[in-house]
Amino acid sequence: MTARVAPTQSPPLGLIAPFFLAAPLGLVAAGLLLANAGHLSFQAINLPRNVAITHAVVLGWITTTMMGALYQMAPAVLSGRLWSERLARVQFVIHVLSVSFFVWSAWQWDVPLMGIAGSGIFVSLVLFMANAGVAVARARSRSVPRAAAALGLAWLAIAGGLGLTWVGTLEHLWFPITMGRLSAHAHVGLVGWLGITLMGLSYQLVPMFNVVTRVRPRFGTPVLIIMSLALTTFAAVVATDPGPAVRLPLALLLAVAPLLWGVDVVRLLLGRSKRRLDIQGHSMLVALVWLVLAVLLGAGAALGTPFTPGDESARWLLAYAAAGIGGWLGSALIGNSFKILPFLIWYHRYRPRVGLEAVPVVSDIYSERLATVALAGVSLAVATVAVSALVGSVPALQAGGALLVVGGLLHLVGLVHMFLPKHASRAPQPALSKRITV
Amino acid sequence: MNSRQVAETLAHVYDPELGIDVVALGLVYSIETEPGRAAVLMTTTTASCPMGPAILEDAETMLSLRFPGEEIEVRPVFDPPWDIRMASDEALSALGFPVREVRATG
Repeated sequence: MTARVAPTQSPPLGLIAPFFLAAPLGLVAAGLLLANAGHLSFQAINLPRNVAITHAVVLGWITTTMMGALYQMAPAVLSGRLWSERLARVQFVIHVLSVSFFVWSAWQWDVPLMGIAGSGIFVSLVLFMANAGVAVARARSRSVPRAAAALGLAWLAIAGGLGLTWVGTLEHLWFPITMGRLSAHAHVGLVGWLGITLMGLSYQLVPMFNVVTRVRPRFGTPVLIIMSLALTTFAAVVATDPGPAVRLPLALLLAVAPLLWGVDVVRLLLGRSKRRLDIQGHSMLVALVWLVLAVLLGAGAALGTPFTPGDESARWLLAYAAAGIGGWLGSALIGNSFKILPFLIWYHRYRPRVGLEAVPVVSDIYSERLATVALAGVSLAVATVAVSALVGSVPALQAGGALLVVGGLLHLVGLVHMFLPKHASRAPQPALSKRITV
Repeated sequence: MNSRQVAETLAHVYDPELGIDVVALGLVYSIETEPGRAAVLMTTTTASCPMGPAILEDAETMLSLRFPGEEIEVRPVFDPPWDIRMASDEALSALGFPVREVRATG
């Protein structure tokens, strides 16, 4: 079976890089806010400071990274052209300004300003969904990653719509915002948009970065179907604020698809052709550990009362959120950012010189040590936050915040380091090509 | 231009992820040459690798630079799919594989 060489597509480095470079600042902001958080953080998940911190992490760090990844992968991996690169640049500016403004206004609990900032975020999301959605629709690939990207964008639309509705409700008191409704919004955004997109894209990234040729994933399509059905059920039922007897099975239902995905990731990593795991492989394993912890903590949070000592009902939820958002999603995205961006840099900066001089390979472009330190730093910070919430220690929570600042800066330094000039670590090695049999 | 010269040229084309040249990885399936023309059939490590087309284009570029004025054709082929056992002993060692064990698996 042969085919013509297909032209490669990759969006400009100047379009993608700002998303990756701005994202760690969201983590730094969240860490700074957490370092100044007090005992109130344990009282309720929807208190102003918790709302500000959560959105700094989710919209500032994770979503910004995911937007950059999708803008890169839709053309490069799914072969779908973006609607407009200029629109993506405009959307980046709107997104960063709106999220910064929203986090600040939520910290101050200035509801009218939150409404304005929330509207800006909604505009950013609509522009992103339109642009990335066109690319996904144009994609030639009929694959799990493409289906996941489409599903993720659909869930993002729902999460954004719910978020804007909640902000409007805060101002105009349309209806009560209960914990169940907040939980529905949070899970639609985190599991629907970020979780499904991450899981789906990893069916492409894990085999690609680890050169997996002999093992096929078993649960790709089932993961997407089960996840979507489970999330729909979860969001619809949990929004009615049911008791623990209903919440627990819902929580376990939500965990089925991510755990099946985890089985696939382990199988793929075991079947890799690259002997040594690099930062992407390590980060996926770390993410899986966090996923299991998040499932356990989520089950505890679903039980509610038995795990709310001293009437501090947010403690288990906070630990669950830390494990799920910072641990599972965050670890996976850190590892992949240290592979996606170097590929882009290699493609635009060094590939044009192939054949004219010895050029660096991808592993020359990023520092494995810096990447590992960033992953470890963020994991340590997330673990500190989760444990501090479980034991109810404010000083530990604030220390966790300080560690998040350090972790975010380490991530940023690791990414910036990639842009420094690099040299080829290996000259052409004819010795490796002794087996020329023609 | 003969097949050996073409192969030696392709040995300077690297898989940017693995840092090993395409000949040592066993990605070059066949080379046919005739006066003024060379045709190469080669694959990528995974069919879905987004760098695959870039590597194939790089192979064409390298050959065009080395043999200006010659007709160069590099075509992708995915049957049989690439397998780590197609890599040379030296490439296996560079990737950290015990050569004897890999060869023993067929």
